[in-house]
Amino acid sequence: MASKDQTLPSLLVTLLFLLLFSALLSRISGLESVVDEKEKFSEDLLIRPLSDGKVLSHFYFKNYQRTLGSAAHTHVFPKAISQLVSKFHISELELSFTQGRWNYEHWGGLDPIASSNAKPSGVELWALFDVPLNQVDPTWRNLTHALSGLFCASINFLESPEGVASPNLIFESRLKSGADGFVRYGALPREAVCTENLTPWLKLLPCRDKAGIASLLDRPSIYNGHYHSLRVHVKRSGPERAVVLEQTLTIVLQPTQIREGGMKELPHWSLTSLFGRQLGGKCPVAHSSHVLLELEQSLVESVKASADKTGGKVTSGVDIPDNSVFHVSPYPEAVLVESLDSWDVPKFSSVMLEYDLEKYRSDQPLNLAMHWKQKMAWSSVRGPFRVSRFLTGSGNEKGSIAIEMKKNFNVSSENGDSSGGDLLEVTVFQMVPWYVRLYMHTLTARIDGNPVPLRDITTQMLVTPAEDRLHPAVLEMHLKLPRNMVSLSLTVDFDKGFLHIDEHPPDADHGFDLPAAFLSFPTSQTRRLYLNHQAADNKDSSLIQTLNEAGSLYVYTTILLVPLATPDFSMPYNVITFTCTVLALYFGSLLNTLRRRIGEEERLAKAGSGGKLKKAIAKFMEGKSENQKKLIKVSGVILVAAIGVTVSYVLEHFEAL
Amino acid sequence: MADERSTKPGSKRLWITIATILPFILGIPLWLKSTQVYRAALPFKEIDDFQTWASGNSLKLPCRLNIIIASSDELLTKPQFASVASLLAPHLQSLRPRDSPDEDESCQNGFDIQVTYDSKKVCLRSKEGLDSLYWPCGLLDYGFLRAAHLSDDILDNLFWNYAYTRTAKTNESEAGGLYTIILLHKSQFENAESFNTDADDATGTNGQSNQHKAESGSRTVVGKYRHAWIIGDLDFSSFETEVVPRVSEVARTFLGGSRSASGRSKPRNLPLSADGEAILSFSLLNAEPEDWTFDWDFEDLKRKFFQPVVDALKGVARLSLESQVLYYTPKAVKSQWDAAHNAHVVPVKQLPFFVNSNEWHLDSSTAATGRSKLLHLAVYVPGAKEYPLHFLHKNGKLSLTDGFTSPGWGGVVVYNPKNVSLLDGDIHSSAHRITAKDFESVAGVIVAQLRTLFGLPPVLQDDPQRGFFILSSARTGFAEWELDLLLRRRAVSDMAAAASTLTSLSSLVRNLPSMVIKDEIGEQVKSSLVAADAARDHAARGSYLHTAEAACEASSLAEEAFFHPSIMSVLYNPTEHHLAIYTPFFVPVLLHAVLAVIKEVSRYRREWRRFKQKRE
Repeated sequence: MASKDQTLPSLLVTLLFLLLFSALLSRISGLESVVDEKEKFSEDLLIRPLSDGKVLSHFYFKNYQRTLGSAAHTHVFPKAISQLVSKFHISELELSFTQGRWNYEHWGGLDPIASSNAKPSGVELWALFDVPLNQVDPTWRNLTHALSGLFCASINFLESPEGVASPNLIFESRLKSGADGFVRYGALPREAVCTENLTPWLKLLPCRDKAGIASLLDRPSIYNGHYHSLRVHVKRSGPERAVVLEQTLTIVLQPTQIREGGMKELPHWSLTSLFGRQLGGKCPVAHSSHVLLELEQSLVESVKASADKTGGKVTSGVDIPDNSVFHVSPYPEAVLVESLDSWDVPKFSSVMLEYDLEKYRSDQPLNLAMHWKQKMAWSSVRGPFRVSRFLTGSGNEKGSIAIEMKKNFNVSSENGDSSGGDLLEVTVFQMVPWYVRLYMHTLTARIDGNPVPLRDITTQMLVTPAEDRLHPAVLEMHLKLPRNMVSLSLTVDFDKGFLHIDEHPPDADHGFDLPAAFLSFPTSQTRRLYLNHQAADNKDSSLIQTLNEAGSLYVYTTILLVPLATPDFSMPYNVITFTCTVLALYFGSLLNTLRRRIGEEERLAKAGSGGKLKKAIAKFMEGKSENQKKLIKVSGVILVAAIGVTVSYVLEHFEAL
Repeated sequence: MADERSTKPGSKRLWITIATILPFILGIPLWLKSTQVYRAALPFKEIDDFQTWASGNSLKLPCRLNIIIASSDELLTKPQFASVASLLAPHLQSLRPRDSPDEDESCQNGFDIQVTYDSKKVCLRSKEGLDSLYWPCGLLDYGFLRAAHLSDDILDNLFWNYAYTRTAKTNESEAGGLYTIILLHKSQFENAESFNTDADDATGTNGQSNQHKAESGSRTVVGKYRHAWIIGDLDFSSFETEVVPRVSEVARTFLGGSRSASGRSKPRNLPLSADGEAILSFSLLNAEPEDWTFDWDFEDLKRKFFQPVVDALKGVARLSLESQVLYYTPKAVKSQWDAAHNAHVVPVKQLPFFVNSNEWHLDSSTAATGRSKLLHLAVYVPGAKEYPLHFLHKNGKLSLTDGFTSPGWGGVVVYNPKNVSLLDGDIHSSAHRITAKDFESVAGVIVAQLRTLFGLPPVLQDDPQRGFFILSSARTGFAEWELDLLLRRRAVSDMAAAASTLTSLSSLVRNLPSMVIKDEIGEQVKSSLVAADAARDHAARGSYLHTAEAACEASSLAEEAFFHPSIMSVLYNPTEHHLAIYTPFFVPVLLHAVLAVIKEVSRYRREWRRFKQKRE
């Protein structure tokens, strides 16, 4: 005890000195890093095993530029984006290239990743401009051209106003408050996504795919997946209008499962087996670099249940990275548990295993692997509703579009939030090209199969009627629905329009794609609050910070394919020929009736008795035997045929010349 | 059968058939009118005139040369001065720029020469012209000239001060093309020797030249502005052999620029867009960020090194700067370890393959709208495995600059980090910042590269053997007389470009009669011609800046008209299409009508003949 007492003051002194010194150091380093803090880049990879055996990989790159300035000088931030933002006065922009369809049932719908990264297939672009109203459309046109050059895609097809909407209601919650400006939204459902879009996207990263997390992106394996979504999101925020660029790539891959004796092997995976590459350290200029493995609440729950069943350990102390169900290697540096708010940790919640790439190098790569020990069934967190959209009716004349929402679970009890009272808020956004002519008076809503007057459930409805070749029809509805309903369907009838012959795409019989509708649920919050009490706050993974932010839930429907009546493309020429024949007949017969007189013609014919050729032939045939006559006739036919062949040959030869 | 008829043949049927075909014939002009495309009237004749002018001559700006003979003692008498003046004139009048046989770079009518004898007592001028304002006599009374220590730099500024502060305030834009050569008697400087040595210390670049200068006895210096001075033994007897060659050499330098070291021919076109703009895109390439990464505070470097250059070139080109830092940008050629030089070397021969276009995403900038020109200036930081990296000349010597340029594209310079010891200590996760001090040498190379890209020699070459020195502007990198030279070149090339673009446009328009030509294009062509005329007017009056502006406007308007989007999308309307549309209708219908007319006419004639026979 005595010795302790003596050492304490000296320890204190040293501590004080150390503190002072470190403060001094931080001052110096702070001075040094003034410019560094202007721009910040961080990279993260989130991996989540899905309930159907697939694996979700979410690449997340965040680039931050504090002041845009003249956008002329950049260090880590891509110059192209910063010039784009300053040139087109963009407040916010989101561009996504997607292939495949997000499976809301099996892959989840309520978590932030699904909500913001499940995109309709093809290209989707929306942007918020900080320009006066009369300049919005020219700016949008220029932007589409700039982006199509930047990303090697045909985004410039969104230039024409017939595919562009200016939505109001749906972006209300997305844009939050304080953002003023004008939004334009466009989608190209048929755009194919390929490596030629990925390469320019990678060019925006400081290390491209040479180092860091992006070095995992092996082209053959990532394009083999079931879902592939490339996203660029630019936002200006804060008092200094800092530019935040988020680049995400969401892929759902199927781990290779080997069949053994008729039984499918468990879906083991590792980074090398998924991507065929190794992860050798971080990008040198990245501020932070993390790999995260997220295990969902229901999986954790069933793991704990199975641990209980085997009866080995106490319920609270299940080792998440290594238990009776699966084994994760290597052992994570930190385990984060989802909590409802700062300190309240529920009994069962999602778990995040964190690996800091700072500790790995190319000679000592991170090969994160998950090895299943037994088959485990669980389900992902689904959204409150299952949304589908389909066409009814047949034929090339008319039909109707239906959007159907079916409840997945009892929202009020399960979701936990009771802020909306006994009403559930939904906003529906649907954009339909002008050639699908909607009849808005036929818009009907049914709740649980019974028709409901629209005014009972809508609080706000914005309809922009279509204008031929100028505007798409846009339908935005803000609905308040009773919580105890099971299903809602919205139907609207339409007539199919006729297109000009030159308005049809090259593959006209394929049909026309209607862009995906999307729904937002402002009352359902997508948020996973992972609190990391160990890490220093500035080195925290930026993806976790994003997950911690609350956002509203978005659900996209699928793309619809509408077959339109395709014309016979040779029709114009047929019409020309047919009309001209009729006219020629008319002219010919008219002139004949007006001009010719039967009596006079007969008189002349009698007097003339045949033409000169006829006379010559008759003279030639005179005095020949029957056989000779036959021979002459046959040789005449042959002569005619020979002349025909020669002429056609000469013509062909001439053409070849 | 009777071949006569008693009644007049009826013309009813004839008229009916003719009436059928008549609308078709009458419709032809209407049809031609309705299928005509809109074509704005282009001034073809004016364009042709402009082209014939441009093919014969090029835009020439006048140059004026003021030769001042300054001496305190009575050097020349009045008749002597007159003979000196008449001696100088024919020598300089027909002067051509060095190594340049064509006349493009010469001035309008050679030099306009004025010789002034400025002594303490007399002030003689060879020609009382309007230029007398530019040089009042009395230089020798100017106080500063008697200062004990005069370096070339100070002397240069002194002359500039004298010319600009003591004379009437002249418009800066009018100063272009007015050169002054001052002949000073050596004995003016009592402390001539000390002056010489001081000059060497001060200017630095002209090192090792002491002895030679003493031998030749005279010294020629071309200053940063539009002045040059010759200090020597001015003597009437040796004037022709000693002074005249020196004066003509200086004049030639003013005219065609200083000799380039390698003797390469200069690029004719400046690396600028039609409207005189260029973007200088600086890229810092970290070849191997695993070893070390370098960053820069470009705003600071720009303020210190590049903004003065941009400001100096304002009249010649509108330059804007942008910068970025790139990582993982290896070079495309392999370097070898050279033990003799203790460095990794890349032979100069392989430099064309140095730029790695796969990995160097220098990127065309989105700020570069339209047809503006982009010049890449890349600073390459080698990784640890290839440190230090140098370029090896054919003669086995290392390159002094470690940089190279590619005309029209830009330049590359290697930056070998200096503080190696520091780097060795902490090789991992080492982020460094290039300070302005470290960057100084690289910035010098970049400015030299810019000079090369603009067609000037990278560095001004002194010739100490003959006592010939050229002061280079340390701050801006471009001397004022060089800017005049660039302006002259640009005006010439702009006018030539305008003429050729307009000629191509007019021949294109004449060759494609089905092309729509909007009014806008006509307007642009007209204003381009107006600007070209204005340029010629300004050139005659000798206003450099206005001439360059007008010539630039002419060429950019011509370019705009040529690349007008409506011209770019010429409607594809082949004759086959016309044939396919018109034959199905006109052939069957007109066949009937025409046949009917022929038959009726022949029938009517036959009947008429029968009727005539009967009458006879």
